[in-house]
Amino acid sequence: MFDLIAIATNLGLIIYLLVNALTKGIGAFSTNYVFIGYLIFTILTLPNLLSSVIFKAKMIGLSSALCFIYYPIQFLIAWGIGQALGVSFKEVLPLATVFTLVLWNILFLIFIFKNQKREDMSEGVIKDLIMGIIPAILIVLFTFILIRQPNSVVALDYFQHLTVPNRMFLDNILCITSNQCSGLFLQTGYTTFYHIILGNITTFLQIDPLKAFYVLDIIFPIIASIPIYAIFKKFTSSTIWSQVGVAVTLLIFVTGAYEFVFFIPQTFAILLFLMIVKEQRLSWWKLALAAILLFSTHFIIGAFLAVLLIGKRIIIENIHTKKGALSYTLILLISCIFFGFVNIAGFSIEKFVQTDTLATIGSFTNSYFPDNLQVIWNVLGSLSLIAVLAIIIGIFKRKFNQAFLIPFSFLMIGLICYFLAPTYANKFLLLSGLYATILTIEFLQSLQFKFLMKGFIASALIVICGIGYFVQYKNYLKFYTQDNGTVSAFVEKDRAIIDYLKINPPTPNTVIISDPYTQLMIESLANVPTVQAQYMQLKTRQNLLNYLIAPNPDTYESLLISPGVPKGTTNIEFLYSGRIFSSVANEDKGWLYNMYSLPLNNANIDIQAVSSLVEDQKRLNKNVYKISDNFLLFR
Amino acid sequence: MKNFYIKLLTIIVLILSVIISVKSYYSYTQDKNFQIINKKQSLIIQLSNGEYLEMTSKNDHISDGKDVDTKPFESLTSIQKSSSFQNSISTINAYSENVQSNENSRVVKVNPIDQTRILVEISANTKYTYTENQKYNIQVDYSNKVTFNDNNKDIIFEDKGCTVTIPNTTIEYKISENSQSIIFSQKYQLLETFRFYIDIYCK
Repeated sequence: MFDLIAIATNLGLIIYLLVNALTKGIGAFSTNYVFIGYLIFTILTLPNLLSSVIFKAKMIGLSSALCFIYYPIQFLIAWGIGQALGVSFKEVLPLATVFTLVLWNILFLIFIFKNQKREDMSEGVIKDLIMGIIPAILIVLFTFILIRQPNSVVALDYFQHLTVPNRMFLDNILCITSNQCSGLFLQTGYTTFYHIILGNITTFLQIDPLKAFYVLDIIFPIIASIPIYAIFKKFTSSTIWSQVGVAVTLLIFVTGAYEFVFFIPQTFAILLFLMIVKEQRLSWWKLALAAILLFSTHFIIGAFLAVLLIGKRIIIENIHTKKGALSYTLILLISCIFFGFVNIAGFSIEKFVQTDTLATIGSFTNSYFPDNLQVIWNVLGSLSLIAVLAIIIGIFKRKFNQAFLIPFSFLMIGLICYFLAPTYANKFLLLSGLYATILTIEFLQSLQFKFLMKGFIASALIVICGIGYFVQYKNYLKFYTQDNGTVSAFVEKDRAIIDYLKINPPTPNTVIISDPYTQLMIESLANVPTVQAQYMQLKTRQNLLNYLIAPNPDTYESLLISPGVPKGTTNIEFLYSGRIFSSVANEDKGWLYNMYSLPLNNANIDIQAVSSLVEDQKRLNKNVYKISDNFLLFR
Repeated sequence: MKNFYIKLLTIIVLILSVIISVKSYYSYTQDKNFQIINKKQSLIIQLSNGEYLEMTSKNDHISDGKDVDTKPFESLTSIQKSSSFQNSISTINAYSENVQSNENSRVVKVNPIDQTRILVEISANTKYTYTENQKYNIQVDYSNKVTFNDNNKDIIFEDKGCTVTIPNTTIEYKISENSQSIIFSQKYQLLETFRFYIDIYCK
């Protein structure tokens, strides 16, 4: 039956898309939500099918995680073909994405029909997949009906990362790390592994990126629910407890980590980790492969997750006695408490070691006692009370239990890193929701409640986490709330300049300079070079404002030699935005002192206020073009 | 038997957790539009968009259109505030601030009617000699520059997803030059009372 459901759904979608192609043309796919959703789903699940059909391995495991390498390999092949035949990425990469779609369908049919012959294995696998994704679908409905506005993009990271596949695709460049392609990354933090996948989802088929990001936020939690369900199934062997586990895990919103909310490099690393961690006792060479895979996805989070896997292999999997487990858990617990007190005493890595980074950013990136404890409470909410009970009883349980030891260890290590507080320490709370949920579910299951009580407990857990999720998510959205009440990182008034620059790009060796937020929008959506977009350095921001307030050769000269202006730049075009206008008019200088102080709203410009700038730009033979009420371009 | 107690404890913790969660949701909905902060030298209505409204006594001034304005509460000799503890035992939800500057006194009461409406009452007891065209002015300051709109005696402004309305204003008012304050004026009397509502709605 589950086989049939899967085949019928896929066939129905293909027929719908074919009818759409015939009636509206293939070009309409770039804005078609169903097609975008289908594309994202196939791209993110192809590795599972490759693992199962080609490598005869588990659908969710190390092999499926490693199969994501398909995308870099596909990209390299496309590059090789391009080099050999003298064609650009623009011609080859769309075919590569279409090939992926076709390949997914072929593998899917092989998976179903081949397994029909051998004890109908696919039926069981698809049943498990459907059981796993049902709670995820319900949570997605809850999120997108009650929390998110239609078509909203609520992560600036998407815009930042989009610049990488755009640059590779449109400028025909092969980049190994994101910095090679884009000046929007302060540090070398990733290879382009993630960006190639993002390119398949958006750039290579010229999908509307705003719609793609919105649909990605819908599909990603559903995809993530598959390995989460598998992990719970492994620990509990119960369908209903596993479903509750999926629901509760997805309902924990970890600000800073966003594990199951957005598809960004760190969450991609987490997705791969979830597939790998399910494996029992990896051999050393497999562990090395897993570590390389995670590291290539995100140099910090990937490395952290790799260390967790290595720690699991070296320490946890070698604990076989209750006494050993007790000593180990107590050492971890005491260490966590110790580092908690060290933090309360005032120590943090960002304060004492990363002073240069803080000077660049302009402020601390972490909260400190007691706010940092409040952050943990906000993330886990009152689930933490039950998790603490589960931990206390788990430690003193008579029987030794790996289902307790693994999540407990990972939770404690995450908390220790959080208390040590390097920059963006919030990220180390990643998966704290999953670990706390595993501890809680495993504990509740061990109590063997009767059916009715189980129902009450499951409902109570979902209510507890659902409320926390709603409040946390809503609070997160405050930053993206515009003057007119729209909740989105994309401001509709910016469309005019994006459309203009797409048709009239700047000449080579020209950069456009504007306020950081506008720079991010035009660099990611119109693919024009800017001065480090949202990461424009504080010194450069000050020099820009100095020039705009007093335009003269001296202030212009200072701006030209400011940090972040790309080498080889021979021409700078000013894009005077409503954001700059309101900053000057209202003396709002927050964005000069803190890299993350980004005004979202774009005001109308009073052209009289920029008369001196117009005059000085005439000296440089630049004319002013009014693009809209919110943008003046000096070109 | 041991398992029974653990089960009982678990259920108690679970029920407690549900109560805490529901309470946190309730406080979120209460705080969705605004929160009142009654600390230090000011009484602040904090909006959920990060900005705030303030009616500090230091900005009260008496004008007559000729001389320099007099500020009766420029330096305070006494400040008394209602505490949240007081509010909880008297089960009222009103916040008050009573300030004195020598022989002048001023009481402000901020009473949230519901999640979107606040009643503000400001009474100032001052002792100045009456002159012609003399007016007592109070200021409602907003922490950001905004565009104020007039709509049938409603003063409205929008900022970062929040709409603030002072409805049915019968009191004479003007907007400050820096577009951040509403200045209410009444003919000077020894005992002056301003009474108005503020409606706050945040998306």
